[in-house]
Amino acid sequence: MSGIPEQCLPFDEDLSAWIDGELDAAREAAVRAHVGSCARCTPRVAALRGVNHSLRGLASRPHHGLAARMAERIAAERSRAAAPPSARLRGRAPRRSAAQRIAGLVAMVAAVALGLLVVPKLFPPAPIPAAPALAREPAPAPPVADSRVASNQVAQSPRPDTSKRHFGASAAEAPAGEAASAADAGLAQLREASDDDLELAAALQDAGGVDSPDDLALVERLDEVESLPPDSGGRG
Amino acid sequence: MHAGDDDVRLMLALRAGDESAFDALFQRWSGPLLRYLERMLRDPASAEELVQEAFLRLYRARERYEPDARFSTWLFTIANRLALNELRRPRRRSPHESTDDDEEGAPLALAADEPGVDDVVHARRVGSSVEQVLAALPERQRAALWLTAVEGFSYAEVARSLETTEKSVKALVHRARAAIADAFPDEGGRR
Repeated sequence: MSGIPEQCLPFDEDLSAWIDGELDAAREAAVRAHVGSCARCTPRVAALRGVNHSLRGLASRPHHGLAARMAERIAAERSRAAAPPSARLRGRAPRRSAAQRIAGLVAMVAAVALGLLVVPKLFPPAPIPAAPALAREPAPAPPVADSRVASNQVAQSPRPDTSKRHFGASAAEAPAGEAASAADAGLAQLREASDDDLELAAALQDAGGVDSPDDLALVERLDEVESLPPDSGGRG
Repeated sequence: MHAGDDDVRLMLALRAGDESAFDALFQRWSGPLLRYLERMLRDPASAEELVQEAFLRLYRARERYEPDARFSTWLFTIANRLALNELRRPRRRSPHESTDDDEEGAPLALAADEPGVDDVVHARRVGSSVEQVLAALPERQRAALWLTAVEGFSYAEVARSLETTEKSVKALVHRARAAIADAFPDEGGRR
């Protein structure tokens, strides 16, 4: 309540606690003494106490059939609990074995490899304009959604001259865009990987199962996917 | 600790396999729980669904039950978790709904528990009742006041049920109670 007199401030919050019997003896005595001598707090306590009466008087809506519906749910629960474990598991998606999960991970890694390595070779970049033209025409920034993939693709590409695409004319951007789209598709698959799959990726790395530069780059991408915020797409 | 509580005895009987004890507990507590959840959710259908869900969880947990608190505290703690989760589902939100967004997932932040002043004033302006002013309060204030004033919970029990501290409960209860009293200054809080 606004406008509480200064002498009442130390007691105001304790008025409710007093009504609810939540004060220790010493504090209760102090509050009682204040309320007994305060023209503001005496009616205030009555008003606060009145709220309790009002709340207790609020009606509940009729709820016909609630007990019957509850009984049905409990009966279903008993049936479920009584069923053999195999029946309880029926209908659930079977948990993949470790071999299946590794196979799935390898398939996803292959998809990313396709995006990073194969597609750019199928669509080689157009001839790069002369340097003076580049200086006069700075390239537009790539779309935000593709910038991370595109820049990574440049950094990890085995062909050093491909980095010039990002400074080039629009004709050079089409292959890079397609490569980025393919890489996006691979990343989308990675985002859908379960946590177990990502752990397996880490295990593979630890075991030295991925030691070529390209494979290491892909594992780095797995790490990148793990570090992405959940709402950055794909997963969930 | 609370073995003298009749409800605890029923719950222990249920744990031991006496399924009729569940019916007795449901008959005794479904009404109060429904009344509470109706105020929390402001949606009778959802309240009924959560009453069933709370009792279903109670039934599933019967074998792990330990009488370390009053039965009602345990039951309302289950219900509060369900209700607060339900209230945080995005589809429930309306543009004018007063919520406790700032305290989500964290120990109770008292600064976030100021009454929904605009809502309270609006409710008063349209001549609404205590029911509507109560509905306009932030959900934890609403819960704390109801459990204290109607269900007779101690602040310690409310704190346990809302998973917060007694100090926070004291502030929540007073702010909620004062907001309702202030909405009806000429009626001593009665409407």
